[in-house]
Amino acid sequence: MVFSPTIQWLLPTNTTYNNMKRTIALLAAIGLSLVSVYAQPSDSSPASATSDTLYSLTAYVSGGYVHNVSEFTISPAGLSKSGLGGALRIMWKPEHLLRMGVEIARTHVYTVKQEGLQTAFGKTDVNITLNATPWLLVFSMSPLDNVDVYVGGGGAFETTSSEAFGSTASTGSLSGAAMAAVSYMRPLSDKWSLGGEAKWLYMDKYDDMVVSVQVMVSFKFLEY
Amino acid sequence: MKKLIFAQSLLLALLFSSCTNPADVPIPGFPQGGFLSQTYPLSAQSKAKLEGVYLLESGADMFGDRVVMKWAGDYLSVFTGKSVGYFVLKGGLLDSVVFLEGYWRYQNSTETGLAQMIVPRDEGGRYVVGDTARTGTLRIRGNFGSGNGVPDQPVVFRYERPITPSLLTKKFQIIAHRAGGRTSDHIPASENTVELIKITERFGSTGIEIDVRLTKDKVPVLYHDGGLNLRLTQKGPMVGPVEDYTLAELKSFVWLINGERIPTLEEALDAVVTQTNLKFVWLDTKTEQSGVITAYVPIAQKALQKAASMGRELEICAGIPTQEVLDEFLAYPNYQSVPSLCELTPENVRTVNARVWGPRWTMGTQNDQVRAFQAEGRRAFTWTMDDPRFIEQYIREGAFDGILTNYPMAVAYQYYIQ
Amino acid sequence: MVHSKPLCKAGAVLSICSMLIVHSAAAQTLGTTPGTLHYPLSITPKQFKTEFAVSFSRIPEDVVEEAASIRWPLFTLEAHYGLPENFILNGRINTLIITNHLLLGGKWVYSPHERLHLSVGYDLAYWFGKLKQFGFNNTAHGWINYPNLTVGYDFGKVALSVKAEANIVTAVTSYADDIEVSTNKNFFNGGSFTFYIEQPLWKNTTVSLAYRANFLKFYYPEWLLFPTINQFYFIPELEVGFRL
Repeated sequence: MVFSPTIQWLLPTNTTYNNMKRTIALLAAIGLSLVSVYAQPSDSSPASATSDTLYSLTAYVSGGYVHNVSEFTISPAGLSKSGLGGALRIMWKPEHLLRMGVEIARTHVYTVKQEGLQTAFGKTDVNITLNATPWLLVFSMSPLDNVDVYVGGGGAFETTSSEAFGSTASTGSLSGAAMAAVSYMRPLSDKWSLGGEAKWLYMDKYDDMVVSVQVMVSFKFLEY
Repeated sequence: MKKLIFAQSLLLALLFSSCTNPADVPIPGFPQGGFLSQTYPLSAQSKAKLEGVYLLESGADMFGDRVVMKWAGDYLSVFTGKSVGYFVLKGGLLDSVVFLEGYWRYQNSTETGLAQMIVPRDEGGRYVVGDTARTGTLRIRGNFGSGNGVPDQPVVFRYERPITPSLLTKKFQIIAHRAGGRTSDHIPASENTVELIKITERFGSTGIEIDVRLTKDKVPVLYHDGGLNLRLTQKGPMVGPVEDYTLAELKSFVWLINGERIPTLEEALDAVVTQTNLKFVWLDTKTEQSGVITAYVPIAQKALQKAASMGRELEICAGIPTQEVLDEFLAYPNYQSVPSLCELTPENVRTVNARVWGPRWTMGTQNDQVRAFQAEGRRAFTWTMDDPRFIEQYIREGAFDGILTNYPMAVAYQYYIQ
Repeated sequence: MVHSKPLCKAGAVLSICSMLIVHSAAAQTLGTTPGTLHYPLSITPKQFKTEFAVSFSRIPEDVVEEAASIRWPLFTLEAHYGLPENFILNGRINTLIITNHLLLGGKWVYSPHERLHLSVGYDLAYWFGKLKQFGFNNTAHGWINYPNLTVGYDFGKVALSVKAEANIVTAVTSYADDIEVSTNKNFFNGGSFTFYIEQPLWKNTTVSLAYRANFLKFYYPEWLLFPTINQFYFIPELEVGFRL
């Protein structure tokens, strides 16, 4: 009873097999990572493992260029994948390596804009913009000096603003969201830093994916 | 060390490649139309001779012991009792040999393949194509395959008997849910579309249920869900409820999963009247917005008039699934003369003078209540039945006049095999 | 049919991040793993470890009904109890209110190297779900078996674990009101790979971030939506857990 489904599962008869391959590749990649790390000369300095006992709260404000990297089966005429986005992130840094925080952002997803589009309903100018407001729980670590890696998850409210055929619509829908980012921040003072971030955001309801490159300013507003 | 990093990068590259989820189940097809392109069309008399109940002499492990064969226009549907399996074939003749080609599918899985068969000259071919009496055994011999692969597994059907005539004259309705099934069943067209309406009879349907909503400019369209989503539509710039957009916007910027456009109710009913032999349409009223009934009743009446002018037998009933819809229906002028199908209590059925009572199947066969309605000149359809065991039970033991199902082929098998 | 690129890419991105993270924490002294839960470390007998987690998954497009506009995460409470001879008893409750999953199992831990640990285990779960929709009660319940293998590496400040788990259904039965609609018994339902990164967040509180790749026919959190097509679906999950 179990045997034939097992064989069926292992045989490359459908795309789930490809997903399995990908996951096995991920496992192997992590395995190689473990080996490569293990192969490095060890740094047994206890100082690097010392915890910093000062806690802090830091606000990050970013803004910049956003580009949609989703896959479109049918690419609408007048599709524009570029836009602007920004975010506010508050990160809490306790004594260990991991930091936790929250982020709220606003990002362009894509726009369909065309003048004089000929349709079965006559000619019309079209301007449809999809934006998103993600709100995320975020974690970060710092693999190198001044470099932070972020991962986060939560939700997003996706909104469409539509103008076509003399009608306007503004409506939205809730979605799940996931984020990953890498930032480089150069300290300007004890509290201020300036830098940039590359971010990837995914929203599952409509399979939207955007990448962005943003300028970021941070301010450590509380230390205790 | 560099080799390790390179190897990691290669592996990561694998991860970024496509990570798809559902498999398509495209209808397999013969290249250049197969052998049928070289044959002559079958006459109505020839087609009628092929209809009936057949025993499987080969292929029973795949398709069960018996099948029912029945024509829907130019398509011969073969309904099996195994895994909601069926064939859809087209026929042609050449030199007293009948050729049948098409595909088979298990509707509850992704298994499908090509099928190619003949009725040999000496095993019924002459009888089917000519006006001679049948002597000997009528057999359909052929092969079926997997996907687009060459059919290479034998299947042989032996004619046992005709479909019981009373089953054909009794107006039992096999009503296809969402016009033919759900998009997630990997049917050849998206749910609630004209494209699906045109082919639903091949699955055994005699009627359809379709879901009606209003656009922002109050045009009734067919769409099941509350919002535009990836379950039903391809990725597009418009999100949120269908009711927030005009018909022009929906028609211009929304594609359904298989590339179709959201149809208007008018387009759908026109297709029913002019391009099918469907006998029943159940309008399921989705009411995130009031005024649906007021909007669609005139369209339904216009379609009925057109059907009448063409001599088409057709019923279109307004569905009353909830109290909200009932209240709106009761407010419609002269509602008692509007054909309706009420899913609520027997009292509600009589209040609106519904033609059909539509209880859900989990309430049981309710034979006493069904017969009481039949005595009043009404009918009873139950919904939504997909399990072949229950379909068989309700057909054998129940008194319903119809079944709403995502698997019309399963209902067709259980009904016509009696 | 649209082909999408769901959270598998998230998994790829997370794997890059995890590699950056583990590289950053590489070759530190040992210290993290006593605070972990998923890392296959033996527990002092009669001691408990507990964790609260939330997870979110992506619904396959092949569903039969529209998902609710507000989707709640799956909440998890997990506890491990130390037994002698490197055995651990583990239990877990997952709930979305309309679906609930109660799991009990055990595992044995082995360490071939001070930084490398692995465990072999077997869990058995009972799940049940209930929701009134379309005017009648939909209920379902079943038994699911999870043989599993976990490998973990301790980087000092960060612990990385990979858990491979098979999913074998003993029985899954669904009801509409009192009528048994379907029963499926004794089938191989697929499996999951979970990647855990565990490390302390503040004081001694450890956080786990996990990415789970499910390859399943039947996925209990989405039982009401799930399609009837008998095939395996890739369902990615992200999970965040906090040690209690």
